[in-house]
Order: sequence, then C-alpha cells, then structure tokens
Amino acid sequence: MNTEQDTKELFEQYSDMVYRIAISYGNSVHSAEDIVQEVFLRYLKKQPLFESGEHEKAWFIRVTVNCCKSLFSSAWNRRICPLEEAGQITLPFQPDEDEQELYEVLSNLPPKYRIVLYLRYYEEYQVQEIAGILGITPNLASTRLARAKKLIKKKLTILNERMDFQDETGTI
Amino acid sequence: MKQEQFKNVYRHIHLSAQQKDRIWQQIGTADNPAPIRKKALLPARAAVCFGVLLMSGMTVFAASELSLMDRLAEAMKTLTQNESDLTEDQKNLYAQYGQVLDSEIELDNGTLKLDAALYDESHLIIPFRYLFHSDVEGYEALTAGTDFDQTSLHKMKELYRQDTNTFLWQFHFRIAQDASQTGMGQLLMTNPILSEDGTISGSLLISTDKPKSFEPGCEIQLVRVTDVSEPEQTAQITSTNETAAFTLGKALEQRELTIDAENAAALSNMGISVERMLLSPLSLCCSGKGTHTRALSASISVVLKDGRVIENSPNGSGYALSDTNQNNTSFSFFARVLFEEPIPLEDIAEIHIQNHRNTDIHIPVEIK
Repeated sequence: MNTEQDTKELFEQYSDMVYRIAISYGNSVHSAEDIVQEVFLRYLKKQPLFESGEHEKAWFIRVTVNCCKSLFSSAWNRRICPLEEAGQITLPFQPDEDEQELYEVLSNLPPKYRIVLYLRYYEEYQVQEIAGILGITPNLASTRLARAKKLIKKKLTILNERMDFQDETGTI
Repeated sequence: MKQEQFKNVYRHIHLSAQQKDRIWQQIGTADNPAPIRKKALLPARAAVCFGVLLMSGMTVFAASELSLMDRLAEAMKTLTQNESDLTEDQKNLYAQYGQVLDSEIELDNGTLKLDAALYDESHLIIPFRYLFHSDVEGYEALTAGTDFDQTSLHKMKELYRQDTNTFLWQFHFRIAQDASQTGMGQLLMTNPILSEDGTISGSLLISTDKPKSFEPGCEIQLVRVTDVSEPEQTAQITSTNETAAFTLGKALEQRELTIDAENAAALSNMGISVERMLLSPLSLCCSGKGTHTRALSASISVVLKDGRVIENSPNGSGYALSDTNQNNTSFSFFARVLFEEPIPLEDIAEIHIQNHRNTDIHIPVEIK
C-alpha cells in the first residue's frame, strides 16, 4: 500500500505533466485541474505497482489521456462553453509573440494530434512508445504525427503570409 | 517549427503552488480521498471503468449538439440507470436504428443479456449487459465498493481471459446461411462500463471480411465453446452449443458512392480498381480488383462538413483477397474500414485516401 508521502512525491513529480496534457486536450484551466485531481484519485484507488520509472510515467500519461477523452467527450461537456472562450479567464501562461502564434496554432489542432505532438516533441517518446501509451497502432501514431506536422506547417505559413500582407498595407 | 520552440511553449504550462495546494487538499489523504466534483467529470450515471479491458474504436464523439447519433453512441455504451431492464429511451433508439433483442444467456456466474442489433453489411454491433448472480463469490465485495480487479470476479474465465486480455472469449458467432462465416472473428467488446450494482455493460463488435455478410433476414447464432483442447493457451474448439440466435431486421442506412474518372485513375495508379464503395454510419466497405496489395493498406479517413477528420478504428478494419494469382499481382479484394466513431451520413463531406507515397484522393459524398 502506498503511503501518503509516496503519493505526494508522485504528485510533485507528475502533476505538471498531467496538467500540461490536460490543457493541451481541452484548453481549459478548470477542466485541467479537475483532471489532475481525477488522475491522482485513480492512482490512490488503484494502487498500481510499477516495474520501472518509465512504466510509472507511461501509466500517468495513459490515465490522463483516458480522463481527458472521458471528460471532453461527455454530453455535458459538449454543451458547456469553457470560460476561456467566454473571455473570463486568461490562458494558462503569458507567451511572447512567437510562442503565442505557435500556441494558437497548436490549440486549433484536434486533441488527438496535439497529444502525439506533445509526447513526441516534449516528452521525446518514439513512435512505438507513443503507440503503446495511447493504445493505438504504430502506423496510426505515425500517421497522426505526419498529419499534425503538415497542419502546423500549413497554418503557420498562412499566418506568416497574413503578417506579410499586414506589413505592406497596415490591414489584413 | 523547431522542437525547442515547441518545448518552450509547453514549459510555460505548469501548476502554480496555489493550484497544487488546492488540488492536493481536494485529493485528501490516501485513506479518505475527497469526493470528485462529478459535475465536471464523468456523466452522473457512469461509474468505474475497467483499466484492464480492451478499448476498441467505438468511442463517442459527434457534433456539438446532442444529435440522435450521439444518443445512439451513448446507448451503445449503455449507461443505464436501471440495470435490470432497458429504458424506454434506449428501446426506442435501438428500434429506430436497428432492432431490440430480448435474448438472455445463462452462464455459470451470471446472465448475459443481448439488448439490440445494429449493423451494416460487414459489422454487427450488439449492446449487451452482464449481470452477476448475487451468490457468486466476490459479488458482495464488488457491490460494497471493492474495485473489480481486487475481487475474485476478474479471474472468472467465463468472462475475462487475462493472457489475451479478451472478454467473453468463449463466444463465437455463426451466420446460419453461410457456414464459411464461423469463428472467433472480430468479437471485441467496446467501452465496457461497470455500474455500481455490478452490471457490466458494453457492446460486442462482430466484423466479417466478406461483402453482404449481414442482411435483413440473416440468422445470427452465438455459440459458446464448451470444450477446448488447450484451455490455458488457445481456444481450440472441439465442441460448441448454440447459445442464442436472432434474425436481423433492418440495417443501418447505407449508401453506394460514385467514383469519378479522375479518382478512378488515381486509384488505378495505386494498384486497385474499385467496383463498389459502400458507406454506412459505421464503416466504408470497398470491393474490386487489384494488382498491388499494398494499396489496400492506404490510410482512409472521413472528412466531415465541419472540417473534423474521423479516422479508422485500429481494431475493426481489414481486407480479404480472392481469385489471386501466384504472386498476388492479380486479385479480387474486399476491404472494410471501421470508423472510430459512428457518423451520421449527412455530416460527411468526403472520403480521403492517402497511400504511402502521399497520393491524395478525395471522394466527395453527396447525401440528399
């Protein structure tokens, strides 16, 4: 049985990662906080035994993704508007201009593309590992990565072209 | 975009000390976890999901409003408040899209209830519930709140086979009119849910690799393996008992798509000639002839009118060849792609096919 101290250490270690994944899924601070709470409650309930640090981390990622899917696909969630959209809450961080642009592009990707990008380029997992964590085939993981990169490139190109136009005439 | 730029964006996203304290307080101690704010999480009627079960492709997503297809997909998860009987809403929904079944199978430790049958020509979905007998060892602990995998129930072989991570593994399906369509096939369980009274609910997905396998009037038999030669390794069927049978009623709406000359030429360049392409809310099925089998591994996705892209389920797609020559450079084929979620046909804009050489084919869908 894991002690409260063990759980607290895991919380300190993984809560930011869980929060980042949840934000990347739904762009909502409140929902992301709920998901962090849910993930660690599930840990307390399940008391899973881990073979290694990597296994432990993969477990938290997998449970977070599943919680995100459940929350953001529920009929309740589809009918509510995140407060961020209503302009009442600020984004989770204050980016500089380049980061703002990239964050906006990433935010507009479908969640299943955001999560593979996150796992590949932030957590630096390989395609096979990503497939194992998400419970999809390596082919599908690879396809999603390729499509995500293509979409980002396309959207960033459009944004850059729009900025060029603005520079010339002062209006979009 | 460079990796470092990407990382910088995400480095900014983290919990503040205040957020961490608040969340940790809500979690509470290991002995007395704080209650979950159910309003923001799972639907109120859902309870515990199994962690060990297969998650197949029949997830639930749809348009922003709760459409009838949403309700169908929700019903397929059978989040039911009344565990003994279907609700009227569920019965009406099943009747609208397929048919209501009234079939029960008594197993050693519980009752398997088959609730409905919804199908297209290659996929049959059977929402079901499994109710444990109340005197089964471990059931009392389950309903008292013990996690399923902490009770002795999860070791019951009739329900779950740990080495293959398969539920209801002893069941095979058989189409009475076609003896060749018998076997374990693709008998998967989708989105299983355990309710608080110990009822397991989910959907069985049966797929075939022959066109027009499921049609109105088709008799479906579910048979249970009663004897196996190697029970610990593989289920070598030595005898079966017919366990349940029903006749298929109306199918889900299916539409045949037209492929124009340009797309036909592009498909031909890939190595196949599609003679028939049939679209349903569950899947896309194609048949034709070909010269390159690799073409059958092309990526297929559905583009909706609102821009969303629905991909194929990793668990429910496949193809079969026939009339092949020695090197498989001439063959007939039947291929099916199961969508990762059910899609109302009127929401579909086009089918997007992309092969390994990034050849892009867009087949428009016009549903009036």
